[in-house]
Parts: sequence; structure tokens; C-alpha cells
Amino acid sequence: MFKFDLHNKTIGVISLEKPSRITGEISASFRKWYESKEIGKCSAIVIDGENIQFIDSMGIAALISIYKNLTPKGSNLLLVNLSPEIKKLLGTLRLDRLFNIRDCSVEDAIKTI
Amino acid sequence: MGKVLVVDDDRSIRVLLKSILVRDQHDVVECADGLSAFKIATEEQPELVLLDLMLPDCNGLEVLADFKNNSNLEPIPVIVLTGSSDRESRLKALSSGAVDFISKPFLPEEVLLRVNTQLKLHNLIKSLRVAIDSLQNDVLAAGRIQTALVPISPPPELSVAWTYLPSYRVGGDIFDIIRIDETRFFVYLADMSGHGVNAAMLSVMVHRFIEDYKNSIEDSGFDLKDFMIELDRNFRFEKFNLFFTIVSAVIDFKRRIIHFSNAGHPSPLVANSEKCKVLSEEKEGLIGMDMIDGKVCELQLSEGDRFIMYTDGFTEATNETGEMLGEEKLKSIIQGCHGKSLSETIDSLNSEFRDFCGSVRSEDDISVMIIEM
Repeated sequence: MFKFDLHNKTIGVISLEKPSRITGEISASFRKWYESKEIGKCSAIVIDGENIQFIDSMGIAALISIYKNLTPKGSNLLLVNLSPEIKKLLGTLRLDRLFNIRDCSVEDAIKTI
Repeated sequence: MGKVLVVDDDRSIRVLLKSILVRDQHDVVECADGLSAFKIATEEQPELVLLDLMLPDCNGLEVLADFKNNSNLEPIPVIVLTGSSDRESRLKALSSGAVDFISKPFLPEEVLLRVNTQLKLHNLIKSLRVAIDSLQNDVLAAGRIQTALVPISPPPELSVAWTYLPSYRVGGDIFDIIRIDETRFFVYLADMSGHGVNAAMLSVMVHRFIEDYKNSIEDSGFDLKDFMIELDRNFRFEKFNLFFTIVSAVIDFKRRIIHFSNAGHPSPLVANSEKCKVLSEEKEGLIGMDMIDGKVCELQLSEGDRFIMYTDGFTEATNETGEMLGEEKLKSIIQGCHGKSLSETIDSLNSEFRDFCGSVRSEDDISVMIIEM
């Protein structure tokens, strides 16, 4: 259900194949899934929020893990196309200060990296 | 190899099946009618039953139904023996819970292949059940430990009430009410990320840490800012790969002053006869990510004012149509309860929550705590 594409050899784009709620078991499998990808080698990760209907705290913990994997190398975690509810949730947790949250398409986000 | 019960009124078939199965190291018990099949199965607890559908005292389908309606015999796989043209009974047997069928006349190899496949499957299912039971027991034990840590009843000096509904999956809500001195209490409500044993264990650690922290400093020296910074320092995200959010507050119930600090948690509410307000000022990030400066808000309240802390399990609960309960509904319930006692307010919160969710089970713990001045 998760998709990982590499753009310009170093920019990883994570998206969902169809609209889903990232909760419970799906959050746990998301973590296992991205650990199988070589995210640490990416210069930046773009997460396409278009199909993310909801994300629970376990899913948020997975996003933080991705951020932690990237940050020491001075890289970027960009989140685009997020629903207002998810933006509000990230705001409540103040993760909008750590993550790069943008209202643009994945293509536009890649151009700015 | 397993114990197999052969039920057939034809002695020659029983002898033939027995010789095939015994040659393949199976133990065989046998009987010739439906009544004794049920009795022997109960006594012998076979791992598989080969059941003829044409029995002298009853139809084999009735025996199958009796097996499936009995909790002890229900898990035992049943393979039915049918005539080669008896398609209808075969279908009926499969839809009534038989796992497979063998048509007469049969080849010995076919009997062994079908029996061994079903025994293998049955054993796998059995070990899976044992593993799941043991995991569920662990989760339940973790939940019990977590639940045992939250207060049972409020302290007499403080007007406080709460609802605390741990989810069936075991979430990570934890709270406590700790006396600081003659006029002040320290209160917190925290929510661990994730569910299950991980979240429950972290909540126990947080509870323990806070208790130790409180005991390690002089009463008068308790400082909310220092406390929040210390929490952030001790529960680094990378240590557990989990985070938590917390609202902690020092309640001076004599002077009706509340100092509170919020790390990534839903903003507390303050309610009086006129309005229910969200206290979203000076909010900080979640614990464990170096986002805590220790910002503290001061709140001067009047007699009867209520200070409400809650976890997102309440507001993020969904109903059958996927709609979320939301902060506005919580506010309106609280506002609608003005004039009611604290326990009546908690009852209303619980019943409104149940009515909203309907048949949807909550995946998260639900906690709401109300303090009245």
C-alpha cells in the first residue's frame, strides 16, 4: 500500500497507493516498510499526504524516525498535500517546527530541493 | 502423527481405514454410530475425525452439527466420507464445517494425503492460537499494571473527577494527582504514542519517573518549568522510538490559581457559566525532541470555574460514518453540563461519547479530567 520512488537519484518520495487511515497495524507496518528502504541514503524525503486520511501517534512516531534518520546529514523531510486535520495534528504536536510542511505538489517540492 | 477417530457403520471400511492410518503411524479409535462418535470424541479428544455421512442411527450431518455446536469438539477437523455420487451431501457437509471429503471407494494414498494435510493445518492453527493467547495475556497484564497506577479516588481537598477508559488494545494514557503542600496539588495527564505493551510500559516508566522526581525535591521547590525540561531530557525519542504528550499543572485550590504547561497535548479547556475556552497559549512541542523551553501559563480562576484536561482518544473517536467527535462537541458537552455536579458531568461525557461512537470500538485510551475551583 506504500510506494517509494526515487527522483534525481537522491530524493525519495513516499506516497500511499489509495486513500487510507494510517492507524494501528498499518502504522506498525509502515515503520517496517520504510526501514526496508534505504532512506538514510536519501538527501531528502518528500511525503505525499494526498491519500493520508488520518494518522495516529504510531504513524507520527514513524515520521519522526524518518526525520531523525535524515536530519544528522542536514537533509530535509518535506510533507506536501496534507489534509487540514493532519496539519492541525502536526501543529498540536509542534512538529510543524521540525518538518517542512508545504502546500504544493510533489513535483514543485522536488524542484525546490 | 495424530489420533484419528473413524466413524463408519461398515466394519470393512473401518478396518481398511485403520490399516492405512496405522501404517502411517497414526493412532486410531473407531466406532460404528453417531451417538458413540460424540461420546468417544469427548473422551478421547482426537485430532481429526473421519465421519461417514450414512450412519444407522442418524445422518452424519447431524453428528457434524453436534460437533460444531460443542465448544470442546468444535476445533477438531472433520473429513466426511461420502458416496461418489453424493454431491449434495458433500456440499452440505463442507458448508456445515467439514474441512474436506473423501469419496468412496478411495485410494490409500488419497486418504493419507488428505488426513495429513488437515492434521498439519490443525496443528498450525493450534500453535497460532496458543501464541495469540499468550500475547493477549501479556497485553492484558500490561493494561492491568497501567490501570493500577492511576488514582482510585480523588483527594478530599480537591474537587476533581475523571473518566478513564483504557482501550481494548491497551493505549498509553496515564495520569496522577500528587499533593505538593497544604494548598497545592500537582496533576498531570499524559498520552504515549502507539498502543499495546510498548505504550503501556512507557506509561509505567513515565509514572515512576514523575513519582521519583516529585519525591527527590523539597515540596516548596517544585517547579513546573524544571519538571518539563527534566522530562524532555529523560525521555529522548531515540531511546524508545516512542514519544508522549503531557499537560501538567500545579493547582493552588485555596487561591484558585492554576499554573500549567503543555507539551504537544490537546489544549486544556476552562469553563464557566458563560463559556468554554480553549487554552492554546504558550504551547510547546511533544516530549523527547528538544522542543521544551518549560513555558508555564498562569490562570486565575473564580469559584465554580472548571479546568479540563483530556487526551485525543476522546476527540478523535469516530462514529460509524467515519466522522470524528472533535473539540467543539467536547466543549458543547462541557458547557451543557454547567450547573451539574462533577460526577453528573462525567456521566454525561461517558453517555454522549457512547451515543456518538455507536458500535465503533475505540482504538485509543480515553481520559478526561475535570478540576473545579
